[in-house]
Amino acid sequence: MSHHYIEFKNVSYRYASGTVALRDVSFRISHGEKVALLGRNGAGKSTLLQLTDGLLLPSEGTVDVGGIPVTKQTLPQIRQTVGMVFQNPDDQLFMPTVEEDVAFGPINMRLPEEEVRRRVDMALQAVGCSDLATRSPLQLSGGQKRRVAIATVLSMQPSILVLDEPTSNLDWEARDSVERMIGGFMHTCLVASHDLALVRRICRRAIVIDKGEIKADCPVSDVFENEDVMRLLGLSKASLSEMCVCGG
Amino acid sequence: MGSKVEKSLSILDAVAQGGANPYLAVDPRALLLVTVGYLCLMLSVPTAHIDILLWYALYPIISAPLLGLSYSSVFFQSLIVLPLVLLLAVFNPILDHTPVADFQGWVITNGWLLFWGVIVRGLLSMQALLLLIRSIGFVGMVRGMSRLGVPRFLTVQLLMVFRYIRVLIEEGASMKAARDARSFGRKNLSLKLWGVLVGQLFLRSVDRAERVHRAMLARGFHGDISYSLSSRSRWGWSSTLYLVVWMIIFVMLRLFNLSLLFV
Amino acid sequence: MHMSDALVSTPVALTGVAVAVGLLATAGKEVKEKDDSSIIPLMGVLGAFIFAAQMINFAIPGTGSSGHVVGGVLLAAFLGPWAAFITLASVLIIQCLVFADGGLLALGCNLINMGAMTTLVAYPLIYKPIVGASDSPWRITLGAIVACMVGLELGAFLVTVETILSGVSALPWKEFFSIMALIHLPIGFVEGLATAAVLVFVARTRPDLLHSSAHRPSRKSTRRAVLWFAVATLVVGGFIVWFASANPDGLEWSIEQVAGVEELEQTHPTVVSALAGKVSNTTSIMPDYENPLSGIVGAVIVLLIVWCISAILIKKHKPSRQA
Repeated sequence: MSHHYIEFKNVSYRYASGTVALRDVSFRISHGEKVALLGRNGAGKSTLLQLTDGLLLPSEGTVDVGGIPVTKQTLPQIRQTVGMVFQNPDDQLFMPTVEEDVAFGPINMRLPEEEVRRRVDMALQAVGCSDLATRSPLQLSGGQKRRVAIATVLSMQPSILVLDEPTSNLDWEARDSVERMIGGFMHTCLVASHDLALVRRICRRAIVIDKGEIKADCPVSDVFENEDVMRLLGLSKASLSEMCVCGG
Repeated sequence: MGSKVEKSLSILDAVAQGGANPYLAVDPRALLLVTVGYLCLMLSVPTAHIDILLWYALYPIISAPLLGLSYSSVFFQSLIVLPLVLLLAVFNPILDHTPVADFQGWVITNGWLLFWGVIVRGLLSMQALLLLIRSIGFVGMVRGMSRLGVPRFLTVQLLMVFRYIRVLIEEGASMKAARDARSFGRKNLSLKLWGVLVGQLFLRSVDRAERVHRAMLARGFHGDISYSLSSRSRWGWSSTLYLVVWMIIFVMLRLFNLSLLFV
Repeated sequence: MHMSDALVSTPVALTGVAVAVGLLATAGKEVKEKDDSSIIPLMGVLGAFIFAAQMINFAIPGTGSSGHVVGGVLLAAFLGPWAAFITLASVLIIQCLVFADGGLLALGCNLINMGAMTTLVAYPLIYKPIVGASDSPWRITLGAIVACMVGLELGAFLVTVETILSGVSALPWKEFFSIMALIHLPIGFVEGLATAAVLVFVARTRPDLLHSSAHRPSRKSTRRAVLWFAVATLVVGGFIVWFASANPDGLEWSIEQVAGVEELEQTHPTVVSALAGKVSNTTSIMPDYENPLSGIVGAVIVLLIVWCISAILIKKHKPSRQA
């Protein structure tokens, strides 16, 4: 079962304004791997993430997801295979109630009603929010919104999860539970994050990107040993120890 | 600005979900139909005919407790229409001196009848609306509309606007507060600054809409909002009874002037 | 300008609803044909934006602060007329249902008066021809002010027509319209200023967002639009002149019209007249009132009794929180 992979081959992306966001990016994430995408703001992380889900199409090179090349024609399948969780839950919870948001994906997949119901229940259970089904997103706390946002994607039963800053703006308790939840997923995961604790806890490998190019692709532990890489990310040994990340 | 924002937000919260425990479980569609029927028939009464109009108050008076609301609170809330309605109604007694009846030396003019007629119409129509919205809530009502055949593009639009009103109001409020903090006490915005502030809020809204769109696409959205999860249909015998009985009463009140019983 | 249900009679309200429904259906089709799914979240968020913008007051020199931006021309400048109409319609519906601003049956009329006049008439026929794709602040301001004023004046005119036809006011239409028109001139002017302020900012920072930047009106279409507008003005103006001159005694005529509304109801196939045939009780106001006061007092007493009884008898299941 090696088909839940993501592969970028010499991918470049240029915006309409001419700015080059990604330059000759190549990597392969294999089935079941959990990879962190690290880089400063503006380094090209969100562009890269959007390319995995076909929200953007590469100017050059190819993106391959689970054996399916990302093209205009394959978008429906890609969106089923890749579950993308965005940074701001308020942008993803746009329906009047939680269960309708979670049902949005399966309904777009034109599944029959009982199947949609079943998936909604399973997804909400997987994130521990079954009791929130009939609530409005306006009534949820930050952590609850984050988990429900993940559920909205799980209900499509993707094989690959792409998450953009899953723990931003959460208090420690919420952060902890989201961390544990993602760690427990069987999916192939690509996680863009500034949360070093999350990265160390659940990811084995890190891809470091700067100014649209991949500067490092190595085990996570190596990142925190390599001074050059850390400088790229704006970290220093001193700030790391301040964050109490080392020694964990 | 703060109190206006607070007031709006509290209204939004109050209106989002349905009201108190109803004595009778009425399907939103039935309530919508009854309300529309009520308004059609009540408003078809010639304005000066207060003797017919007043009887239409039976609907809010009896329905309020049936739907779990107190009529006095509905009544007081309905007074909100008065300022605007009075503005128009007040011209009637001033201009129209057509005498209509004589009561122990007091001449009642058509103008005064029109005046009270407009007021009663205003209050009763507002009460009917309040009954509707306070018992089902906004979301329930839009769902009822959808099941009555209102096209998807409109119901989706209504739900989405409602969903994001609070978010944008809060965003606007924090932007304004941030500006106020740097304005050395001068609270009022000049037109140009207002344009910049609201313009920035607009740009942020457009960005947000783009992000929402991306999230929709990522979950397979293809432009066509297909069916949504069907909420358990609550149309039982009580809804049918409610609809039929009230519609009959409204028509009867229109045909027969009960006030004549007291003449 | 939100009309309460108190001001409309049933035939007028239902006509308004029918027209508004027709316009909405057309708008829905037009927007769907564009086949751009991104318009859906945009309409939703911008509808919410209108509410947020209304919360922020600005100072009007000399008077203090204002706050109520209808936003039709503003929305149309970004979304185009049809999508803007749907968005503004949703705003007006929510204002009615949630904020008690405007009546339910009168919604149809309100959608036409405030929604259609600004997005479907003022924007395409006035703003676009004046401004085109230009980003000059003076042009935008001029276009916005004229468009908003005309849009609001048209709305005010329609409110007058609807109220007069409904027979709720003894105010003769000429006086009524003058008052409405006069009040809405400064309101339209202020809204024009507000609209311009936002549009100038956006034209400076993100001109690509303006609808007109994608649709450049050709010289021919501009001329056609101005011609159309001139013809419409002549027709409406001529109608008003004819109306006024053919009825020298305006006041009497208006009252006659008011009393004649019942005739309208008889000829208009309402359910009531069909069922009742001869609703003699309601065809003329005068002969009916033998002793109106006692009838009314009787009614009020009965209502009070009913209220007490129903409040006591119809108990709630559990103690509930009063919303």
